[in-house]
Amino acid sequence: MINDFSNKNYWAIILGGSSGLGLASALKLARHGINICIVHRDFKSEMGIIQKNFEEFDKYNIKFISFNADVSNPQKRSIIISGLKENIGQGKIRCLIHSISKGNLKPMVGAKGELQNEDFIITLQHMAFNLYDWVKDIVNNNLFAKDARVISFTSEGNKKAFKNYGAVSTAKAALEAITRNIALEFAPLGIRANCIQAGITDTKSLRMIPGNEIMKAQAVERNPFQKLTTPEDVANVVYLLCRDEASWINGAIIPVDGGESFC
Amino acid sequence: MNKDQIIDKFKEILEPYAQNPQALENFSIESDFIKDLEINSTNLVDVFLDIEEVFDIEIENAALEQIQNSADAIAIITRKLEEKNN
Repeated sequence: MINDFSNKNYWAIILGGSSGLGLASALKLARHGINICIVHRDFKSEMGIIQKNFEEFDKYNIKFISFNADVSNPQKRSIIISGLKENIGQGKIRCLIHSISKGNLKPMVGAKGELQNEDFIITLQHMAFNLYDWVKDIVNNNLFAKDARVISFTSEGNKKAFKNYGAVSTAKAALEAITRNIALEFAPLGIRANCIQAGITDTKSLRMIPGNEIMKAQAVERNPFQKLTTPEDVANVVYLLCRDEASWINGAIIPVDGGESFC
Repeated sequence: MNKDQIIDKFKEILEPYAQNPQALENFSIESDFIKDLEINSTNLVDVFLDIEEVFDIEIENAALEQIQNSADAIAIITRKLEEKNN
């Protein structure tokens, strides 16, 4: 099954692909012959490690491009899409993955730095609304394959409340709603949009959440397999969703957590 | 690039993030990012990322942690630009 996508000239765009679920998904799709375009935003001091990770893509017989830019900035989006067009040739985008983690982790009640209205707006802009902008621009540029996938990442914070997670939780609920509406309204254009609800995964983003050590310990405790979800577990399902056989899965929120969420 | 040019470019970077336009108008290098310019803490990261991009410099983590206000940022930008030119 390896290289099952080679000769198709498919591309995947990964928004937030320099680490965590985004990077693991990109590597998995690359292994199966999908060309990769990663958009990320990182400090130059972090680029050494990131470039090293990106060198992994050289192992596969695919094209790889990356952009270090703000995914929520409309001008940057336009530059990236133009850059992609130059590289893509006759290729088409099989998959757009939204793996952006950028938001406020402030308490609603606290001595200082309480969550404000604008914190919600900024968090939702980066972690939810921009998915629609990207889908729309890619459609307008006629870059999606006839059968394409939009995949976004949600978490159990979509329904549960965690301290400090108010803005991100709201963003996850919004991201799910946007994904569902994309699934409905872009279906005539061949797009299948789904959300993967990953279990607790030890990524850079999780480690930003106050109390993440407790969250991890509790997840291991209640998970039927007594372990955390890995980025590779999630990447495997991203790959499955990209296969032709997954074309009837649309508008779903798919738990990829070993059963953690029902325990 | 002289100091005024650096400040002008720096103000341009702040513009999309400063929620207090008046503070930006009356900008002084002592302007505090959060108290005066009312930049959201999430957007502070964007300010620093934009500084790296616009001035084509690299700011290491230790230096980032020391930036409290515009004066600190401008001092670091100036130092990094000098290092680059030498």
